[in-house]
Amino acid sequence: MLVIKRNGSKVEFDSYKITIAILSAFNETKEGNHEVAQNLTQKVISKIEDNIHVEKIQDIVEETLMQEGFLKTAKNYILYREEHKQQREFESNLMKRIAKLSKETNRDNANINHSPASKMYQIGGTASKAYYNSGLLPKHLVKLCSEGDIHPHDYDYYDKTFNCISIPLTKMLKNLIDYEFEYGSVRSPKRIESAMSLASIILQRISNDIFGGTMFPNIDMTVETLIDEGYIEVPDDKSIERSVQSLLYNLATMPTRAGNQLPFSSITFGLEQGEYGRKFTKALLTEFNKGMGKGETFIFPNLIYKCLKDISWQGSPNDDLYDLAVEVSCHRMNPTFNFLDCEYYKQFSPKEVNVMGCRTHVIGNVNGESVSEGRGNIFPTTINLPRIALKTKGIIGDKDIKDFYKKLDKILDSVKELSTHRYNILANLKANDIPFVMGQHVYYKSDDLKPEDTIEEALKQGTISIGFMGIAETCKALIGTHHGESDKALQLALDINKYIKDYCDALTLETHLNWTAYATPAESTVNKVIKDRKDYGLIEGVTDRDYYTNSFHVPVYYPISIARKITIEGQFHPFNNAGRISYIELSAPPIHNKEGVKIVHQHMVKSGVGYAGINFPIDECKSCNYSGVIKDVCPKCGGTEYKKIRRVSGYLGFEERINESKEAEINDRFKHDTVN
Amino acid sequence: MEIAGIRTESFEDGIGIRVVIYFQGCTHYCYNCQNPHTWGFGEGKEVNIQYLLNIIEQDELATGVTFSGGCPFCAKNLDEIISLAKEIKKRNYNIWAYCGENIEDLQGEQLELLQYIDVLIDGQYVDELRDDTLAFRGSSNQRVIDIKDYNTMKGEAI
Repeated sequence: MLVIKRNGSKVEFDSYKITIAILSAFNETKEGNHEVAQNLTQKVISKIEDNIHVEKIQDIVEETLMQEGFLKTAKNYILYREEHKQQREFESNLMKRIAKLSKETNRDNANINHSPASKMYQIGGTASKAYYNSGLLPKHLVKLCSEGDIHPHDYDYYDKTFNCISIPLTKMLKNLIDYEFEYGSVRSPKRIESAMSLASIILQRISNDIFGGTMFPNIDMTVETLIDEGYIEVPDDKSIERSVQSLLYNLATMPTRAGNQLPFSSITFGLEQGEYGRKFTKALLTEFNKGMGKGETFIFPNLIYKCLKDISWQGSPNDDLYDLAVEVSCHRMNPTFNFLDCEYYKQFSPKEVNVMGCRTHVIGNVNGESVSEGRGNIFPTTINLPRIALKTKGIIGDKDIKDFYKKLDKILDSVKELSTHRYNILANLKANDIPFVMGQHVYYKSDDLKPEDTIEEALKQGTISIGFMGIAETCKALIGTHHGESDKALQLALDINKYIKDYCDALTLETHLNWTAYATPAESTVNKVIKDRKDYGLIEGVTDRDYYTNSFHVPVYYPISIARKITIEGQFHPFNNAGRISYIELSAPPIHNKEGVKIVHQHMVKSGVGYAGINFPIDECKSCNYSGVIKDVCPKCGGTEYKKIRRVSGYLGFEERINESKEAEINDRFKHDTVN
Repeated sequence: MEIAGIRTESFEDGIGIRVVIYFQGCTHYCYNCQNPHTWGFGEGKEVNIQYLLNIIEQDELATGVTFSGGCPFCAKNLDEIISLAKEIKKRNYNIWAYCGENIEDLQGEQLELLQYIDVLIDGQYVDELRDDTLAFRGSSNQRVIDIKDYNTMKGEAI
């Protein structure tokens, strides 16, 4: 007798398999023994014909169990069938995804290429996610994530490592001999060139231990300190220039994480007033402006210029460097600017306020000093606010705000539960599991960790963040306007943002961990919008575009002046202590107009915008390396092949490598300086 | 007076952040002109001085105003543009202006308007001399003239 399997093939019937299945069910219910199972098997056999499908046999087993009065066992058997069915679907889906990834990798991030290692990396991530979904996480949390209510960032790293770290470069270069690399140690550098080469290697090594970005905080201060204290020789200008070139080239070309990804590297600078720090800053800006080998714009590192009125503004000691930084930003879109005169920064030392990656701040600490070096964000989890608004009672544009907050509370509690679960897993990793950053005591307060110790004492110095996206779409769904359109919506949006910040502050008190509110970039959330559109319909201003608006930003498509956008968004900056950025959009590089950019900067400081970038298209001709706006044909050489560089989700990247959702967002961007 | 359009918060029509007034009407008809729709007189929108001053003052960040076009120096009612320029200067904005003629060829009321201009970009657009890398102008024959410097130089020459 033959049986048809699920894949269509035929095998010889084996009655023992039925007995085993019934026995396993009996095992749980205690309704029968081996003999009973054999009798039942005979009853099943009498009902089956040749060439029967395996599912049909299972139906008969179910029937027989019920007919014979083994109700509990029947129920147990049904459950067993369902679980196996899910397992098969899960494996088949996983295989489908792997097959897809083997052909073309995702284009989620600016710094991922399409290499063999990249495919291997993403397949590993996909398998990890599947593993977490199938058992590591509580089922109701998996459901919230898959439904799209919340988004745990870098989910594929859930139980493996944490997000980012600010590198204690000064300390490491001074005592480099104390750090064990894979096969031995390295002596501290004596010259600035070797210091900067080693800095790149350190950054690369650290990047392999974490899933997010790394940053050199106050690199100008590092240089000044190392020279002033005699660790490295006094360099001439040429040496400084060469050291900067090596640093930039390495960070722009040196892949990490199994060879597939450039590290998300950031450098903050601008406050050092000493001679060598200033020279280094000048060289860094000058070389960055020259670009790569053929003059191409550096995509990495991300440069962040720190401004302080008494150091940077006109008439202050570093006003020439600020002027140069603005000039470079008019050409290359970077550096971005961190304005430390904003009120909420005043409680921190300017040295300890730094931006990592595209916006992340790690400031404030309930478990130690509020230092920057050696600390980082552990992970963020983002709330899909528009989805909550869509679920809220009432009709679109006139929803029950109380009900919205009730639902937001529930989601916040879920994020707390998920984050606590994730944090506990990570805190229980051994120093050995994060071999360099924890094992070699790079992390703040990791000095005493032995290889087998858990990393909790160090990790709790970091921050856990709760992010949000689409406050604009949320307001639109709740009251019919977004915060660019009405004061009522602005007040509502501010209230919601403050609500999330207050929730984080309360959690910090309750748990003695550093919970912070995060303004999430949301340019790649196409899946979330499509899901919400499917569930709640196509709603104007809410689900009608292929992206949700970045955090608290005024929608990119909405015509608004620079001044007004900055005034509105500045009010949100104080609430997002885990990081945020505001942008303005220009139609061309303001290459001849740094004065204009400085006026915008002043307005930002006045409005409370702590961190900002000015976006514009940079097109680079592949033939003559002209950089500017190219409309089909290069104005310099007539070439038609060119790269389009745009800032998306906080990083520069090539438009051809950007996913559809981000592309939709770029195409919608309103340029403030257009003719009307 | 007749305008073709207004651009606020411009970064491309002079230094700083500027309100650009595109006057309607031009008699130069440059080959491959960027704004040929601004050539014909009577095809724009009639506005008064107060309307323009309101727009300028609403641009919170603007430090200057740019007269573009068309060609502000070709306008039919130049006296109105002169009055506008006077009012703008009273409010402490600097004024840049584009002019299809060379500065040396300006005469009469045109020279009166020039008194209120801080920076003049002069000369026709010449397509063969187009260079997109230039600051604030289209072709390399055009000049960005700081009127203060120009007057000093002229003084010296005399």
